[in-house]
Amino acid sequence: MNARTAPSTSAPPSPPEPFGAQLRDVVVRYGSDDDAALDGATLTIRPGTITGLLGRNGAGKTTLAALLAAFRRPTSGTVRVGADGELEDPFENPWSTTHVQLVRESGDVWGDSKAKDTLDYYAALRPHWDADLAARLLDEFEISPRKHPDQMSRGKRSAFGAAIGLASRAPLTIFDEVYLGMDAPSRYAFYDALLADYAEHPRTIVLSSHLIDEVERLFEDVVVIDRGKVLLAEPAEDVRSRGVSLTGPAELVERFVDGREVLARQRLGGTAQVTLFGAFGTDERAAATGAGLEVGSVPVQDLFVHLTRRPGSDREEAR
Amino acid sequence: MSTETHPRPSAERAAERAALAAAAHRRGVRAATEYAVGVTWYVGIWFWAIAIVVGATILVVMQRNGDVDVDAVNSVMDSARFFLFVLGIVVPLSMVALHVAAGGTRRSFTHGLWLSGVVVGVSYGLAVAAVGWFQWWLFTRNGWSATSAQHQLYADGSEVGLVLLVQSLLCATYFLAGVVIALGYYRAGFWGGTALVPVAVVPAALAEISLQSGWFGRALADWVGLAGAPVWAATLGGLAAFTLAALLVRAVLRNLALRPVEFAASVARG
Repeated sequence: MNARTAPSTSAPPSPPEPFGAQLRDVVVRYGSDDDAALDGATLTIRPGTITGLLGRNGAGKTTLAALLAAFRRPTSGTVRVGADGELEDPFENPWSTTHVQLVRESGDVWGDSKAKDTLDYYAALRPHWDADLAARLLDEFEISPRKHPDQMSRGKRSAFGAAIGLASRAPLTIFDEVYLGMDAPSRYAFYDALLADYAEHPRTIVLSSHLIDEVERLFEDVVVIDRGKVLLAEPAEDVRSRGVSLTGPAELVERFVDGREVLARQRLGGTAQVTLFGAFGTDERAAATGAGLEVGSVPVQDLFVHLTRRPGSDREEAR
Repeated sequence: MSTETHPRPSAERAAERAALAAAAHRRGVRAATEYAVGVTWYVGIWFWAIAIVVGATILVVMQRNGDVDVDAVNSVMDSARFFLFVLGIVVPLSMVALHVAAGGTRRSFTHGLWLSGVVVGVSYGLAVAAVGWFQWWLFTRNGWSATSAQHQLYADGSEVGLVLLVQSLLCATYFLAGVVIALGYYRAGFWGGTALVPVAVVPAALAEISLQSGWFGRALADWVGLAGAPVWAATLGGLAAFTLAALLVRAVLRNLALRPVEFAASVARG
């Protein structure tokens, strides 16, 4: 198929200020008998931040993203999207939909026509579309605009979706598992491009990913969802301060563990590193440092695993 | 990480936003129309090429056998609406998710499809009328009978205006009827979509009865006692059929929840 729409050659207008979002008691059911995909979810996404949206498979991340982008309506509860002070229901609201971009895994693209046709359609609808950025990103990801997405590898197709998301310059841009199939160099090229463009054109980014170790450095806020419920939604620094990691001589480290909940433990010869859950007071921190231990924050991934662990069923899955 | 709702925007800001939202709507309508019409004609070129070759071949064979019948050639040209019915099923299915993902609304998509129905209907109607007129000219010039036994509203291709009117309404209605079937399945799944099929074909049947054209339109018009209705009544019936199809398109798109990517990909692949 062949698109007839052509991208505007004039400079795109300046995007409005970054969009935020609020969900209040949101429930989404896909069928009358189904479990809720979102079950009373309440959270706020701050405008102008990069928010990590974390959850296990089936936790409700994709459903949440679909609500923000007005792909569907909630069964109950309220969803509001917009600039600070102008939050509105995004569903069938052209002001919202034109300023929110959701890139789903493998993207919403025409698989059986040239990649350029898809880009032309996005360019025709997106008021802040940056065709030059799209071209640069396709070049960086080694994607020919003449190639059909159905003929691309999964990684290239994901990279194509990532390029669309960045080039849209939408005040709220959501990437839902967009990295799938991308090799490591492509993923890091995407992260770098995202950060560079975010710095140059501030907006709100929501990034859903399972590769938490890789992307947590980008997060300013973190939302963790499990079984349709929001477990936490707070700045990444607060998340990291929910625990502490101690590194040093094993015997010394064990002295500070002292009945605390251990999230992770590693040992190499006489050196140990433990990740502890729970607040670590200023005095304790000073004591640990004074004793020669290295005190660090908790990796988001360790905390995420701890919060979403299901002892019985996880063993079943592992089997 | 908590902010609460803030005061409503000023009147000036609200007006500015309304203007931007209206511009976004226009962009959505235009993009959907341009793509749907573009694809329909991109594929339609092949339909017309094949239809003309088949029509010419039939004509040559009949001429060699010494028995030239205008209805045999008309049948090929008259099938444009069925071709558009199929494209009405295929084209919007490949567009709906991408349109919303690109920031369009269901409303702008609906309006784009309505406009596409009009443009596609009139342009295909023009093509049918042009081919019909050429056929009439050829038949008249060679002394063959140029009058079709199938049509009631127009006797032959010389009635260009009437052919254009009838074929435009039929093509536009069939295109939108195809859209209703496709989006019915997208919206309601297999069983719900199948249940919607009889509803979706009502506008097409109404157009056939009103316009009394084609193979089964005349029979249906006879059956319901509408055969011989004047042109103005037939036109009103055709317009009512198109309007009904347009309303059904709006109904199936209203509040439509987008399916997961895998579903969209599977329907796009057919």
